[in-house]
Amino acid sequence: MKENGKATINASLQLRIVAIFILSLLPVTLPATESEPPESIPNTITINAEELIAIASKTDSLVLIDARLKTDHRQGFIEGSVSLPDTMTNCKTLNEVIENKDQPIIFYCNGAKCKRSSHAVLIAQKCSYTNIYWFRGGIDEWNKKNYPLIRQSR
Amino acid sequence: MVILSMVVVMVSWDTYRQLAYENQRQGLSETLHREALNTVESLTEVSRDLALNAQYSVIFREAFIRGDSAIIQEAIDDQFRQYVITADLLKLVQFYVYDKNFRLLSQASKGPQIKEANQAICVSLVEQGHIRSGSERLKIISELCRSAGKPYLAVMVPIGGLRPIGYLQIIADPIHSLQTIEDKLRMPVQIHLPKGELVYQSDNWGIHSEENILVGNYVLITTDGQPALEFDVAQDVTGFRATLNESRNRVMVAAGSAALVIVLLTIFVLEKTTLKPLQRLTEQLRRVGQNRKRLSETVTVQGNTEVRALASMFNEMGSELSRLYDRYEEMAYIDLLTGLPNRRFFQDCLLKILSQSAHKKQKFTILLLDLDGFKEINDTLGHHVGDLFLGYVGKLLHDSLRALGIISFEQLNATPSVLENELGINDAMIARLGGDEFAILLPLLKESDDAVAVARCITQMLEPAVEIEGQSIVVSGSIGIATFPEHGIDAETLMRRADIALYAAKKTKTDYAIYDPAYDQNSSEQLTLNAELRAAINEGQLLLHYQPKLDLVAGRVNSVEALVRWQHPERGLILPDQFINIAEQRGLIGVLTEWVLREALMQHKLWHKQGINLSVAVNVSPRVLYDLHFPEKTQQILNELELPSEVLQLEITEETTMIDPERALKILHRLDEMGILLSIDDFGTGYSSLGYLKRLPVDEIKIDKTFVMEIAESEDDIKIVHATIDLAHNLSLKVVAEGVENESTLKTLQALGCDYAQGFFISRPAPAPQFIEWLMQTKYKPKH
Repeated sequence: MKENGKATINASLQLRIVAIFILSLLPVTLPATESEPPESIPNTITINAEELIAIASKTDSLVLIDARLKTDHRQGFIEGSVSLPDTMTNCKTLNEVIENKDQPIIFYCNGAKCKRSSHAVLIAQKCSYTNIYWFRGGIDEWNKKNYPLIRQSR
Repeated sequence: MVILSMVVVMVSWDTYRQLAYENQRQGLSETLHREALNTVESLTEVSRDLALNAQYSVIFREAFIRGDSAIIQEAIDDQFRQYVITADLLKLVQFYVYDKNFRLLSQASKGPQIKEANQAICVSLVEQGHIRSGSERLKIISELCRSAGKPYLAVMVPIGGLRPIGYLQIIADPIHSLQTIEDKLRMPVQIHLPKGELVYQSDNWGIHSEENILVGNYVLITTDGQPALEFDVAQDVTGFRATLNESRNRVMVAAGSAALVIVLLTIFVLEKTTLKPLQRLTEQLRRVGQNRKRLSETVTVQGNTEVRALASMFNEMGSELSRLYDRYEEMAYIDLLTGLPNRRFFQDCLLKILSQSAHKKQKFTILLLDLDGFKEINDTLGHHVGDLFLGYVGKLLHDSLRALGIISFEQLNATPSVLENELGINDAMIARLGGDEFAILLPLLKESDDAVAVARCITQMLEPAVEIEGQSIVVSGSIGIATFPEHGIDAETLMRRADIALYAAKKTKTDYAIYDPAYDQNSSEQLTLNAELRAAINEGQLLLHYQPKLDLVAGRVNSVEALVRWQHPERGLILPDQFINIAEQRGLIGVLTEWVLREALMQHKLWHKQGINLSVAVNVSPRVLYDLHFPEKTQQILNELELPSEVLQLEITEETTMIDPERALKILHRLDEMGILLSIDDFGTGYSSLGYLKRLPVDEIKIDKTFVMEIAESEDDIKIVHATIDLAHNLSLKVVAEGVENESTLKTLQALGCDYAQGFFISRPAPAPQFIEWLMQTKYKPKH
């Protein structure tokens, strides 16, 4: 028990340090700094987990993009998604994973507190991709609803 | 004191020890409970990860897509060997692989074998998986179940990512994982099946003697609510007992010393710091008791923290009470509707000015204002509009008196203390007494008739129509005036006499009246009648008298006027002029009119059955013609009695159209449409011209008896009546002459072409039986 407690304290301390570090980077990566991502993004459809699954099961050409950092990606991701951290997202990198501008694309990251996916969506919009969906709930919602995550890449 | 506390500590020690043990045991069971659930949760997570990872071997995927059961089995056997016991957390029992329709494709060759999916361990997970649809099929599900008496943990994950093509179900043995609790708690553990079979016991179970251990227990429940496993955990309490004994001694010593110290301190503190400050607080309380205005004063005291805290709470309470008191005072003395002082404040003020005026010989006047027609506003436009209107009147009164310099400072919405401080002996004040009654206290600085000027000014100010919530409202005010010391030297007399004067003003329909002793007797009689009228209506003390209307052309009586009388049990017969205005003021006129209508029409029906055809005329007060529902109510009575509207005639006065012409016209037109005959009563006494009558839907005018009575003697009256008849005929109106008291008058009227006559010469008003008796023996009998 005691050891467990210590472990959680350590983990949360680490998390906090990481969080502080990330927060300190935010003004650089995101010009409009707010405490939370927006409720919605203009010209983009916000979807939930079930809508994501419905789209994935109907659309072969779907590109599912995990906008988190690679370290987060390795901890578990939604099957079929491509890892493209928002820090590396630009028209060139997007072009490498998406063939057509009107191909359906879904962006996600960790969830309600994470702004990487909304950031990536804005970049994709600037690169004139037209068929963008935003899974705002991200990994948090996915986990809460007991959908499977994959931890190792095939 | 010290000895006492020692005894208390000793006596209750045993109870404390029992409690301490029980608490410890409960805590132990809770820890066990938490630990068991944590372990099951970790096991579920590990199983889930294993199941998810197992399907990503290339061999497995390819074999699954081909549907090659043998290769799938090889792949999962690999996993099985690798993971059979993973880090003490997971002991695998079986691996089932299903296609997307939950047909069993393969299973690990090591575990217990089944032939079909419906034989699987924790088969309810399969059933649960089967009935899912849509995105639900993607969810990871798990459960703790019992199969052949033993508990199992099952986890099912989808195969194929976002488009499931099959399912993988892992069965694990939770007992193995739950054994780890002994390490986590560092205590020996026993695990039983629900029936009692021991499935695990720590090696060191039972090494301590029984009095030195505490046993906690917990029952793990399956997902569907059955007991799965029972846990016992034993804690060595040798150390705990020692601690308990030690703490007992410490508590006893501490209690003894603390008690001693407290006794000494209390004496010291009481002497030095508490008694004196408390005395100061008591003094302040006494002062506040004498004068509540000192409530907001603060007291500063020296003393210890508690006393200072008490003093500060005392001060806070004082200022809070003072605030509350102000608020309470405001509610008690201010009228919330208008923001003016209320009756109570007015009374207090009156008493104060009386005590001051008595020796200064200063005169002052009370003006009581009552709004005529306010009740109708409330009844017809609703209380909301009524309230707004009262607010408007309050402000109008205040602002105008302020503008005239009669009120010297802002009294509207002033707090009672401001009012009290500012009001001097020479200041006027205005209050709302309640309902539509306002009062003004007016010091008379000059000998001239100040009060009358103020009264006139107020009634004039109230005259113009005012628009409230889109409704145009017209009322008039009546004012009663009583002066100190002329009309009374005490508050009660002055108020009563102002009230009597007000009543007189209302009765005479003048704007104001100054108290006159002659009013007194009248008014006391009126006041009693006032209370009795409602009872009179309900108890059948009212009756109708009938006076015929003679058709001068046909020489027959075809209609009668119904006149209401009050048969008072003590005072005898009372005529309407004594009580109609009471009914109007009391809001009883509507009920009274309805009663008269019903009674008169019932009489008509009765006569009709007897073969006598007489239409009936009923007098309607202007107040009734303010009620938009009146036509409806009239129609209802006609319907009830199954009578046509032509049998009814309504007599209205010129006043009717003066209160609110638009409204009255609307009601009159409605009555006219219904086919009811309308006539103007007492014509000639008001201000309306015949030209004005053109606008009204009336059929008939009744020339007032003052013009008719002396027609035989006065040339002027003849001229007036003649001209009136001619003009009325030009407007297609019939003319009735009232007050025919002799034959020559009747003849003259006939000669002038008058249509109907009414008066004592023909017949006095009489009760129905007498009237019929008269009718039967005259030459004026109606046509059958």
